[in-house]
Amino acid sequence: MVIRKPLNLAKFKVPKGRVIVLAERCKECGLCIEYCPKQILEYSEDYNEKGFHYPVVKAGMENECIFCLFCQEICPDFAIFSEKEE
Amino acid sequence: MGQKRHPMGVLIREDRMPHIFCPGCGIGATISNIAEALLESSLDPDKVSVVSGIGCSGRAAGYFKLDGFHTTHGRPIAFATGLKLTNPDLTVIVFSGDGDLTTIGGNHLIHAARRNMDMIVICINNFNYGMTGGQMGGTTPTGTWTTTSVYGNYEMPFNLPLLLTACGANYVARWTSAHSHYIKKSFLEALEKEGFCFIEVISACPINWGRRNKLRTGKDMVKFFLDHTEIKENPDPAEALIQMDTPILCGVFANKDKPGYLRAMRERLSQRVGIDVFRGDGKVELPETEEKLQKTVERPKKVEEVKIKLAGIGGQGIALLGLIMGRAACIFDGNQAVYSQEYGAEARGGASASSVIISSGKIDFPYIKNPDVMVVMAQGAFRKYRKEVQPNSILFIDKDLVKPYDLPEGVQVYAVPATRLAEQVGRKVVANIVMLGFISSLTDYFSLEAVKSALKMSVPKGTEEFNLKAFEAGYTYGEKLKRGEE
Repeated sequence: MVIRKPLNLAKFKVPKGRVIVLAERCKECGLCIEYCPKQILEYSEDYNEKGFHYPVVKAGMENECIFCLFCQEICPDFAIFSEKEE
Repeated sequence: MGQKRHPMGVLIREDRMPHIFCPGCGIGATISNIAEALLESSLDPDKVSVVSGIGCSGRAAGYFKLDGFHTTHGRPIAFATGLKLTNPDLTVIVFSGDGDLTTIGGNHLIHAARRNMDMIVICINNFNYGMTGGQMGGTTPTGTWTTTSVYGNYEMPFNLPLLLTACGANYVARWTSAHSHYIKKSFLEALEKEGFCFIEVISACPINWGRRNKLRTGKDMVKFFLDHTEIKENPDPAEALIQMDTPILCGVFANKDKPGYLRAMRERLSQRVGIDVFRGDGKVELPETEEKLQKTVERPKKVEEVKIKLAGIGGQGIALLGLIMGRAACIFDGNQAVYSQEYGAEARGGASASSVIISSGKIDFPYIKNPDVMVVMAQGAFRKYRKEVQPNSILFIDKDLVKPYDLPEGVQVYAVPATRLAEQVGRKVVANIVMLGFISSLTDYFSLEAVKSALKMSVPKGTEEFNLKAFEAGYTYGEKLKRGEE
């Protein structure tokens, strides 16, 4: 399979974001983990107050968020969002 | 790291989080999408109001940091209609569920669509009555399982896009709760439109519907929605019936530019009546062409709260009498007035009553228990309402028709031969107007010009002069009575 690269690819900067999880609101539906395009989220070991495993950023992938806001849009509980990093 | 705020915190009541919705529920995501769209639209949050009914999605009004209205079951559209008519500047969003909007409030839905009432309706369709435990409803697809269809549902569900398109809604769209961007886009489109905008959001209900249909988790449901939907441009609403073996058709089913209810009403009323300003504060701009009709006076005539009860027999014009008084007080004197009627099933002859409350301040309660003024125009009505005559109140009666008895202490009785005077003027039907003239000569609840203008406004066209003559007859009688001549 040939993957074509645009010639001016170097001009484009992939935005960087930082995922912030408000753990106490999470209800462990898993949508953010399922639909993160970079697959940087996983369930936590800990429980939150209600006994759910909330999402955490996988170790070593803290800088991989591309600020697509998928998680923020799909989260039914207003528990996750992303902040743009310069 | 300090607690960061969610970007939707501007429009969402964060102190109420976590909300009551189940894990994986689509309502939360939809609220989030709508809030995002509202942020993008840069509407003034004070000019947006959310109305919702009963059910899971009925809680939405409480989670938006906007003016909200949590209404009775099935009636959010009725409430929203009132809200929009009294405050036309408001953007009214109805956010409710399928059980609330389409089954219990089905009639409100279709008639609001028929009228093209200016509002945006977000209908969260989760295929069942979720809050009560997953019963079968009007939108449950054929062949699916719920608590009350344990052998599989054998009824046909509503095809909502077809129904709403047929009823004449301006904008009809359907998405699922997995289509965040589309909901947002649709909502922004609907904000630009006038008339009835209906967005059906097929929502994940993993706990009550999904659990019984092999879609146990929110993830399964979102996957189901993404795999089993077909997004089309200009889809045919007739094909939009939801069946489990064919993909769910999504898209914008109707996008018309018919005039909305408010515009249609304004156009028609400004032509016919000359009223072209509707502000919802009780003041009406009347046409200036007719010289005698006065506009709302600047300084209202001060009146303490006075409760007037009018009673007579059907056909005497008791209702009209009350209406004229109320109009005189609120339209032409700039006071507040509340008017209500009561009557039996008979068109003529049964005792009928109406009541008017006039006040400079706001009126809290529209019903009268202890009237300050009682107007009785027939003996039958006197018998029926005799017990409501209060001590030290004022009683106006028709001299020939009413013979009062057993009155409480201190009642001042003023009698006028209204029917006889009306007969002298020409016709018996204007007895109520004679009574009106008599009352306005003896009291000062409304000014003379106001009551005359209200009279002209309320009687049938072409009979104004005749009615004014009857009014003068009653008024002169009252003036004579004051001077002690009668």
